Amino acid sequence: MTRGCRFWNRLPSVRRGHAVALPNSDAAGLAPRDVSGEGVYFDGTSANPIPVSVRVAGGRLILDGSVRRAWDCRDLRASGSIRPFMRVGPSWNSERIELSDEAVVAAIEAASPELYSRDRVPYRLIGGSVAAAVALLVFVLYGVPIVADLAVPAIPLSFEQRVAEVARKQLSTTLFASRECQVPSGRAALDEMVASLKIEAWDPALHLPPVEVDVRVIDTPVANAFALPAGNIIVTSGLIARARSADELAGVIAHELGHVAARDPTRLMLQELGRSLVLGFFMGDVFGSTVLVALGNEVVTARYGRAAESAADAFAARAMNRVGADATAIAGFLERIDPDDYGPPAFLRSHPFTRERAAAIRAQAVTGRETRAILDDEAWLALKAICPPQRVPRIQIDPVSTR
Amino acid sequence: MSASILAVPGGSKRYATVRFEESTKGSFWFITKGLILTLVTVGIYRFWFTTAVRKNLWARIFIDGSPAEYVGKAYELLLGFLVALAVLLPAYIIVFVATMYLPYPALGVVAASVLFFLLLQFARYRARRYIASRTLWRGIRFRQDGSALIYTWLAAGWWLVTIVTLGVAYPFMRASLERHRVRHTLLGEARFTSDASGLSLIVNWLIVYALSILPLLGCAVLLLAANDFEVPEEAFQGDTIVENALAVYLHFLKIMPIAKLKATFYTILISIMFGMLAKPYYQAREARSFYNSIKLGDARIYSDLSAADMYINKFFFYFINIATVSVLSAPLFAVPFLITKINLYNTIEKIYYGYIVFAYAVCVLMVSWSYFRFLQVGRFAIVSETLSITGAEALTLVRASTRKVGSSFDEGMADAVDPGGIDVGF
Repeated sequence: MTRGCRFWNRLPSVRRGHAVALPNSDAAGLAPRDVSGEGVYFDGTSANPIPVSVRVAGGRLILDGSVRRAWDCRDLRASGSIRPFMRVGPSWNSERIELSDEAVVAAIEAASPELYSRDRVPYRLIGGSVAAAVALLVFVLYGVPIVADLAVPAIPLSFEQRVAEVARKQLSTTLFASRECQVPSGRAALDEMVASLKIEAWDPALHLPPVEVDVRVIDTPVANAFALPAGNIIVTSGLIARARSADELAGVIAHELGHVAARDPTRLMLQELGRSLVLGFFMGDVFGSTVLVALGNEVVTARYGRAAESAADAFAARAMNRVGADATAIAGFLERIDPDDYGPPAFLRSHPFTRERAAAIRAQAVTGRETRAILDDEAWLALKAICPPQRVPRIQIDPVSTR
Repeated sequence: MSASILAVPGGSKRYATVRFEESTKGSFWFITKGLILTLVTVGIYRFWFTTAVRKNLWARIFIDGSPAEYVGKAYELLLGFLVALAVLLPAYIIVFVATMYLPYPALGVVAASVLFFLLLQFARYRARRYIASRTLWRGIRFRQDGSALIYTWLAAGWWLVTIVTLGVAYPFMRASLERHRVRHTLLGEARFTSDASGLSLIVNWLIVYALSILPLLGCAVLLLAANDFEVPEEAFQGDTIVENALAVYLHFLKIMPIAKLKATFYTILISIMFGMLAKPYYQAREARSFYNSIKLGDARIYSDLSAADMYINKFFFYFINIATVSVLSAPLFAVPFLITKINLYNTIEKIYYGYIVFAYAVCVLMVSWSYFRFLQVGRFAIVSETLSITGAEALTLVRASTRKVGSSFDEGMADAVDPGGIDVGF
């Protein structure tokens, strides 16, 4: 820098004082005067700094010293830098001059129309990003389910069976189910129930999945039933314990058969997989969008879940009507085991509100006729006793220990 | 061309400073705007945001009077990301399907995690290559060579050693990987060298280790020994690893007295706290030691980064976020009280959910903003501010390379794989 100063002093004709006035004089319509200062030149292939004097005159940036250049200001481009520092050079090569003289910087800015041409606010880009985001969300909302529907028939049964086995094990683990209930008399009663539902339930209009229906009972106090891929259905002993009649249990199994008939487990699994793959990849580093999209994913999943549940309810009501059993039993059972007392708001529910489900089932049930019990009393009692009493007491987990 | 070319006849004595231009005027809106746009575009804008932030940061580091320059383009990141997506999506599906056919599903999770870990190392190395190739100083481009695959195996091997030695080998792993990265970094034709050593950090590491990891290990060993813990028979009877682990866990709970479990719980809590408190100290010592080991010919980096420098940014980050979350969540605790007092549930429900959404949005913005301001920009600033260069004449001898510049697929993959997202640092 000291060398640059000495060089500068050898040019007495140029005075430094002009510089400050330049932007104002330009604005006032006065002819811009020459402005000069000092800078450091780099040739783009070497990091060796070459001090030069810099002058803005006649629409040109003139370098003088051991390197001499005259660049047309219209060709000048500045690269991102913090004022008053400026790094500037012609657009066609990688020569650059670095300077920190405010007056010269202002003069270059005034004379170079395309200096920051690449740094304008990218409105089109922002608009494009928003459009892409919307397109993505629309695809996730409507496209993924369509793709999943198309893909379901292509999934080999052996793979579905494999998924069902994995899911069954995971289910047993998460529900702390220690064993499967298989008392022969109860098993026979359950088979009888499933058989009667199955024969009558298949609507000829529905496309039948080529699967064997396999209903199993696992031993856990939780009251629930699950449809897994490849016609596998899991019923918990807690559900059987809380059913007051064979019709109530049959209704739940018919509901799960509805899922099997629609191949819901596979369909929903593919949808979920597709959604999380697409959305998961689009989420970046910002906490906000990740959680936002995770929430959105829940909402969409729940929405399609609710639609599937309503369809399975309708299927169950139809099946019960055909068998001649009391379809309203399902509604009563639902109200008992899953009251709407608490839980997430409607848009996050994977199942519709019980009051809505019960009303829909009651509306579809055939009433005012003699109903036929789906199992006789003896078989029903045997089914209730499908789980032999546990000999070993269950391990109690003290809630304090996990706190 | 080797680094020895950068030797100045008669020795290089000049001392050059590294300065970080701190004036952050307008940075609040710059960051806030970027974060909101990223949020609104479900993450798509992040490529432009990251690029803008890097341009801004790079321009603020004045090395010997000349600021660095970031010449990466946002669309490069986007394209790289899309290419990576096209490659990785089928890979993910294949892994998902393969997992189903493994004898134990838990094994699948382990295998997928290991695969993901390897991919992450690979991707991060390649991302560093991209950033290097888009960084200029005095018109000279940085470069990174070396195979990402070799780096991946090196990282995997070192992690294995670290796990086997129960964490003692950690600084040796860090130093080894640092040496590998630096020795494959070039400025133009000049290659950086590093003699980072894990041994010089072992004392610092052992202090952190004694405070955070050792109590955990000791606690586990003591608990098991004091109670004559034997692996229960049920541990081998389940169908899956998960079932077996669950059996061991339940057995453990059954034989363990509650008081000891409580003691364990508090030990874990305190260890995590100590770990969090001690981490910046180690990070500062490590960064200083690693920077001081870097040479470019006769030019040598000197860092006087102190642990206090590292703590300040962390402190601001946690303080702002804890304050924001506490203030915003206070009304949430009041609401259940109101509902039980007055039967207002239906009236309040909508306001309640609305408030949760609002409070969440504010928290997200605050966390993201302070993360950026203090843990990314702040740390970047403090690290570069404490650097200086001795033997700076050697820098004038640096020449540009004529090699072709690498593609942006490198970083796109890191973005697709890395849960931590794109790091703005280098």
